[in-house]
Amino acid sequence: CATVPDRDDAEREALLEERTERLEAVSVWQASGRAGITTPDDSASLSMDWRQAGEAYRLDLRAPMGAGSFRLQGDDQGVVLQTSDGVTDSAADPSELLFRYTGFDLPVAVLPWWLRGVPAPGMEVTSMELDRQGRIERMEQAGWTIEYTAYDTVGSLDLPVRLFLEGEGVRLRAHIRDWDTGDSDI
Amino acid sequence: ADARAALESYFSEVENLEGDFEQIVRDEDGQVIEESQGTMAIQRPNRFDWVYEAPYAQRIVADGERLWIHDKDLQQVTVRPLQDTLGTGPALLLSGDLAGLEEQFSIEVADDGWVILNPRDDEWEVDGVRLRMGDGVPAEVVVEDGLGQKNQLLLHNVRTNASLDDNRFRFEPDDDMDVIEQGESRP
Repeated sequence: CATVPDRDDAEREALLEERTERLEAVSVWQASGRAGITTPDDSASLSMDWRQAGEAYRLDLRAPMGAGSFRLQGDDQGVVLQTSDGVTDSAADPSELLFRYTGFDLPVAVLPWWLRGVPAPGMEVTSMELDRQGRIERMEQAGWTIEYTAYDTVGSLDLPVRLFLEGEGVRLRAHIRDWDTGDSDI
Repeated sequence: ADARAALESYFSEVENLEGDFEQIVRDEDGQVIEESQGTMAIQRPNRFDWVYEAPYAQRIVADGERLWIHDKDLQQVTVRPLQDTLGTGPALLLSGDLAGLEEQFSIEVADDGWVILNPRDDEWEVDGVRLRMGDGVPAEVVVEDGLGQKNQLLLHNVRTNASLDDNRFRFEPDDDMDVIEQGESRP
């Protein structure tokens, strides 16, 4: 006998669509938590703060006791990197600048979307699995694989709490402890 | 006895210490950007157990040879040889010996009684370390890094030279933990 049809794909995609639109209406937000970055020859377990205001973003990653901390601050025009050993440099591309000084190759430009559990705009999504509420469980985009293993409801929006990002020679594991979506009443 | 004598007697007389810690990180404008606390124990030489309880759960263990970082939130353990982990700063600093410290830092005492440690090479990735002695132990350590961030460590309820169980300075990963080994001397 036919089981009760699960929410079908179209319905889940519609839910994702709606969620994405509501998220994009929030232009000021902050995510705070922990980030574990692993490459073949290094790993770091850091405190992470991502602040976003429109196009402007600031990523702070702090190692225990200060050493090995860095800050990336920028917008769509360019980015400045500061590190705890006194480096200050700027570039157009944040990922290239971060990699040059830390050896961590992270997709900085698209993290604002992936951290919030939505695909980055204007890029092909190779594959995507959604849960019943239309939230992404797994996605492949721009050569990266992202898995979301926990969400939390903030205001009326579901935002990721645990995510796992894997790319060429780098893995990022993030636990977002605190979402601040500003005073915007969503 | 001035701070330098207190530091010397710490390194010569205090074999181990345990207590609570508070850690406050301020940005270059003095804004508090992170506050954490937990419990700590140090067994010289080169063993310590640093347990962050809040706002995130993390345990950093130096077992004399290797440094284990277990981040419970991330469900991840990283382990690397102790000697290439200068980044853990004060915990390592306080669990070494005076000769080792002087190798790494030039030591002077400021007129306000704080001990000033200037790194001899930038391997330490910090601009400066200051520590204030209290009751024969370093009561406060402030690390300033190249971002202008000040990482203040405060020790409370410190007990010294107790008989500490050796297991406190060992780390046994459970099988469900993802252990990431770094550095040359992989077992």
